[in-house]
Amino acid sequence: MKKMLEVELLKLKNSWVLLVATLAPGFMVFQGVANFLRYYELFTSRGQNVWHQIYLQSSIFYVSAMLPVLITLIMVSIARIEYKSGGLRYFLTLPVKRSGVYAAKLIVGCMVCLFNVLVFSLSLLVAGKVINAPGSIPYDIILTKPLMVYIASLPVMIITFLLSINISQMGIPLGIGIGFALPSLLVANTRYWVFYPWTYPIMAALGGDFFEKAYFPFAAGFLIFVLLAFAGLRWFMEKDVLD
Amino acid sequence: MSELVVETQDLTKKYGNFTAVDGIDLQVRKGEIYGFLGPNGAGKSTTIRMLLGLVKPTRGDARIFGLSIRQSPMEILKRVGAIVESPSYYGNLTAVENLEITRRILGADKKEIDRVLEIVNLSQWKNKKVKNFSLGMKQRLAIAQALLGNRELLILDEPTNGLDPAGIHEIRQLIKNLPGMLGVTVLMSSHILSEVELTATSVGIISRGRLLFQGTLEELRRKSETEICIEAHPQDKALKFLESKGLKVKARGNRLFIKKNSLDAAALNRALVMEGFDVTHLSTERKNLEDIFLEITGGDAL
Ligand SMILES: Nc1ncnc2c1ncn2[C@@H]1O[C@H](COP(=O)(O)OP(=O)(O)OP(=O)(O)O)[C@@H](O)[C@H]1O
Ligand SMILES: [Mg+2]
Repeated sequence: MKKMLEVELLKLKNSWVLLVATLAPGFMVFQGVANFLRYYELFTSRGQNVWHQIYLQSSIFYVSAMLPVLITLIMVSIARIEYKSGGLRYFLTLPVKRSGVYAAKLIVGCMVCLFNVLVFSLSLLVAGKVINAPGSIPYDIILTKPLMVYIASLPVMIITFLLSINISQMGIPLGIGIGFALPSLLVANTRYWVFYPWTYPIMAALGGDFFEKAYFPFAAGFLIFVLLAFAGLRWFMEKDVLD
Repeated sequence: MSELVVETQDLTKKYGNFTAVDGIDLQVRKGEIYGFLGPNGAGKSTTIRMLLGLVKPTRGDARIFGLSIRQSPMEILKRVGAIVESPSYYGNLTAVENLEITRRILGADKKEIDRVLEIVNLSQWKNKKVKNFSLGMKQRLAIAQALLGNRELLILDEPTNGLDPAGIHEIRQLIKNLPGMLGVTVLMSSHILSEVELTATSVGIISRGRLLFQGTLEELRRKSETEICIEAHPQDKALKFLESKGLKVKARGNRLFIKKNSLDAAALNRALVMEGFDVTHLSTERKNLEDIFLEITGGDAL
């Protein structure tokens, strides 16, 4: 498996996706902090915690729009490398197990997404330090919360992964991934959000402790991920490689 | 009879109601270059994908090195180098990085990369990104990938497709030398008769999913018979006359054709003239491979 992971990472070399995954969250935090500073008075007038404000301002857009779009882009690019010029049909004629290829690609995809979230965390920390936010560093806000968001994003990851790896035309997974991400903030405000996995990261990030079923995005997220990952594996092992 | 490297039994692939490959029994012997010849859409790539485990057969089985591809794909694929509907590569990587992927999977020696680059004459481009390669260079890289790690069987799907004449010549020459140079067996598909004629030692002819001929190039040539071709007037009367003599005559255009066998052309000519026909042309013709091919496929041209 180590060998398979190394090979999958090698395939990603020179791909712009790692660059985007690194820069985008930093940019998001920069935007958030800029917004916060512009309305500094307003956001702190009632004595709100500055760290918390940085987190809020940065994560609204990151979690509701940028993260799901980035996840889609990451998963699509990982699959795209295989379909663009026949890589997969060549790679699968090597003595590799299809289950191994599937697992390695899924793991690498999820790791790049995790990396993306960790960069977001780190950017929050840097931003707080730069504007000299008072008090000790609240790791539960700037680290734990993003990690919770990550877990709540697992369904989005597996759905976009399965679409990308099984459909050689990247337009379809790209369209679905982004199309479903856009209305997620609206759906999150209805009671139907439980049926719409794209809302889970939003609930995890911004739902706070006051909504019922606070555990739901994590439990459902994890379950959906595991079920779809196994169903997708079976499908991938059986399918005819025609591209 | 020498050892069979590839053997299929009733190998069949259906896409819905459409039968792309229809019960074919391939036999490729050790050390030969087997030309898998057929027009576009005949089922060559589908067959090759089944041999490599990319596509599951609807029916039948394929055995390579005596092992079933369904049961022992890993053991087989270790020893098989392949090109499937070329070119396939990772364009964002260099030639060396592409080969490195193959090398790591096979657990082959580092030196292998330089060795195969040398064989296909790509050493000077090895650190260039493959997406900037010409088609010929990509094709040579694909062959290098297939050769890496001393594989015993090469399965090459239309390895010269899309190349310019110089590139075609180069790749054919390379393939031709492989069995002697490295002791490998080659199964290559092609839709060009002359290519198979120039490179292969054995031929399988596939058309509309069916394997219509299989044997050595020599056996294929032997199928060609000599015919006597006659232009006589009036043609219909001449035809009746010859048939009345118990000959099998075919009319094609304004000419009549008779299988030569032990027939004497001069005697035939004399008989026609004596009977009052004007004989304006008489020749003996040996069918070329193209004609044989058309006969075998029932008129499906390449
Ligand atoms: N996924 C598919 N679904 C339906 N039909 C298919 C599919 N793939 C191939 N076919 C059909 O199967 C037949 C055989 O295709 P195949 O690619 O094996 O032919 P080929 O001999 O390799 O032709 P070419 O010389 O064009 O490469 C074709 O008629 C093709 O249209
Ligand atoms: Mg083909």
